Amino acid sequence: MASQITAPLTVPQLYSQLDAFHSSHEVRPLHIFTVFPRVDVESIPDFAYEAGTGAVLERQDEGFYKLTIASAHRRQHAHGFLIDYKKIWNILIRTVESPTVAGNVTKSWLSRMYPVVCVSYMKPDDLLNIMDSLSKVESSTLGLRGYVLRKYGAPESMKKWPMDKPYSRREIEQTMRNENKLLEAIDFVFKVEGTSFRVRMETSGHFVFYEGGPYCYTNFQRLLLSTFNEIALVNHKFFSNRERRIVNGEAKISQITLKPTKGLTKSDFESLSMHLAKNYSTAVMHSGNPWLLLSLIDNNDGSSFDIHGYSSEIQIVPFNKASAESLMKLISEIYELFPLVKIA
Amino acid sequence: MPNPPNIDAIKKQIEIEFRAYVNAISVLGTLRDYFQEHSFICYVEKRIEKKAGNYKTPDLLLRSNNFLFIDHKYTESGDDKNLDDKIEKMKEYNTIFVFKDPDTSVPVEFQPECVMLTPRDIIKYLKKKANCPVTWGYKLDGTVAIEQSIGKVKDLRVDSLFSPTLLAPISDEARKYKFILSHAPKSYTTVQVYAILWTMHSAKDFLKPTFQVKYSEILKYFNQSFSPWISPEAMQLNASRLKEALRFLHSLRWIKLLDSDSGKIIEVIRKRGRSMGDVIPYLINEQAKEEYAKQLKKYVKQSETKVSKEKPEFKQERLTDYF
Repeated sequence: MASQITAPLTVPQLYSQLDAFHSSHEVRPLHIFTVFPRVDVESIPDFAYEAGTGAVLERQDEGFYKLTIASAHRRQHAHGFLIDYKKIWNILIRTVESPTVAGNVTKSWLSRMYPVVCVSYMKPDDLLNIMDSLSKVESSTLGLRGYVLRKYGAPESMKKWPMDKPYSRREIEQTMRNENKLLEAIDFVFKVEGTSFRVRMETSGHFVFYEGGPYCYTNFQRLLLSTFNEIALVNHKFFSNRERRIVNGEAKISQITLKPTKGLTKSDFESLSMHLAKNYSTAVMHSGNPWLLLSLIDNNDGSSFDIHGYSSEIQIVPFNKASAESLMKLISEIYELFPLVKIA
Repeated sequence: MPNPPNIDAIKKQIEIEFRAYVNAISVLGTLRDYFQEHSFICYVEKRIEKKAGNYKTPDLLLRSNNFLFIDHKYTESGDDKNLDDKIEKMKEYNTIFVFKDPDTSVPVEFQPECVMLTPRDIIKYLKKKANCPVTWGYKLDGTVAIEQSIGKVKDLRVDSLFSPTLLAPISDEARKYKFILSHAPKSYTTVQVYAILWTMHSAKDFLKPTFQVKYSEILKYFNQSFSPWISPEAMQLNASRLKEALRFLHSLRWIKLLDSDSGKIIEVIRKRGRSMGDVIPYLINEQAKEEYAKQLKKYVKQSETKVSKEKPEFKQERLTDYF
């Protein structure tokens, strides 16, 4: 029997398939990840091998690939697609087994692939800004199903939202402030122009696309994912080119200042030092009260930072090398501990 | 016969020196900040000795309207005086500050030295900005009176006027530069050198177990870590700190020092020095072990020399005499 040869797919064809698939009943969710590449897409299989995982790419069209990834030691696999927008990639992973396996395999794969491929971390404000923009789309309704808050070292807590209650950013922010917790995800249904889609959107750049009406995926791509990608790129630009430079013998730095809502204490600085030490090489030069001086190396990509902590602010001072990806990751780590800090 | 070395005492001393160094950066930087903010001009009241073409400043005494501070003479570690002696000698001045180790409350010597000042509002400033561990010292009858108007200084003891500068970074500079001075503790320098090494990690080596860096490149980056006002001589001295740090990292097996046709190469081993929490306590511990081994060797050698000296000298008799 001759083997069946499938014709290469194009991106519009994929969207059309996803539209049809996710508007039918009892579909399994699709996981979408927005990531920043640090290498050429074609070299991903080699890097994955070095990282102790696996990746197989099958080119479909310009910047569009079928992708199979493997977890550590290649025990589990996940299948999907990679869309290469050059500065940012979208990785779409189909669920085959239980709804969480594909997502978890991909998260584990991405974690091993850092810094070759980097998750596009978002600020909690970014998620809320996207929600605000969706709520302003003409003739649309935004039905919040719930949102996920998390306190450092504690399991996440899902806050359910009554079906008939309109979305309120102010109320979510108030709860975050009251409970001093980090907004991690929002689960909502968006209805527009006779169609709808249900999505869970996370600050880690991970979406879970559940189901919807006709053209649900196309609309999700047009109204939400493309906006998310744009914000991710704006954030990336904000954190880029922050390295310390020598100009005419003088050092020029481009620090990032985070402002907490309440004064930081020595105990806060100790918690910060201990938390960062889990993922970085850290050296605490001065342990706080009132000055924290912490040197930090991201051993994965070689970025290095000094953190100066004062009661009223945390300054991140990039050294000679500081990638935008590493900075974004570092700030997401600081959010873990101090969920309400704002970038000044 | 001296006591045998004690590793705990050695470690404690290294820890105190480390904290003193970082505190000095913070405290003296804050002080410099204060001087700049208030645009102080100071008066040199004693003549600076000129030795072999260079100005030597052992007796430098500076005084502004309310400020008095000195250097070297009273804090110089090369002389026989201990810190208590030096504090005692400073009694002639109005007010002194003794910087104490926050954990042990033991007075600590700072380098570069700058030990006393008045009035009280500067304490408030230092307490607020640097939370420096200061305590009031002695209060005696300071009788020197100087008119403040520049050009009208009548006091013959005034030698010159100048704006105070200290070899310590104000907060802006502390963020820009690493301040690895010649007397920086080894663990401090090592951490900075290690950070510089990692910044030379290229994308092609992202997931490889090791990566290599040319010594000439790290030397270049290392020199860029200093503020521009550090002299070439000091820079030269600091390069020896780089070598010492690299040797230390090599002994810890965090790096390998290799020779190649294209010059000296440093191979960084990715898995070393990570996932161990704050690396400073580890480095101090290793430094203490190294120092202990050195001191023990010296002690054993001294003991052996002493024993051999105490041994009665054996006089070789001639056979003819013996018989």
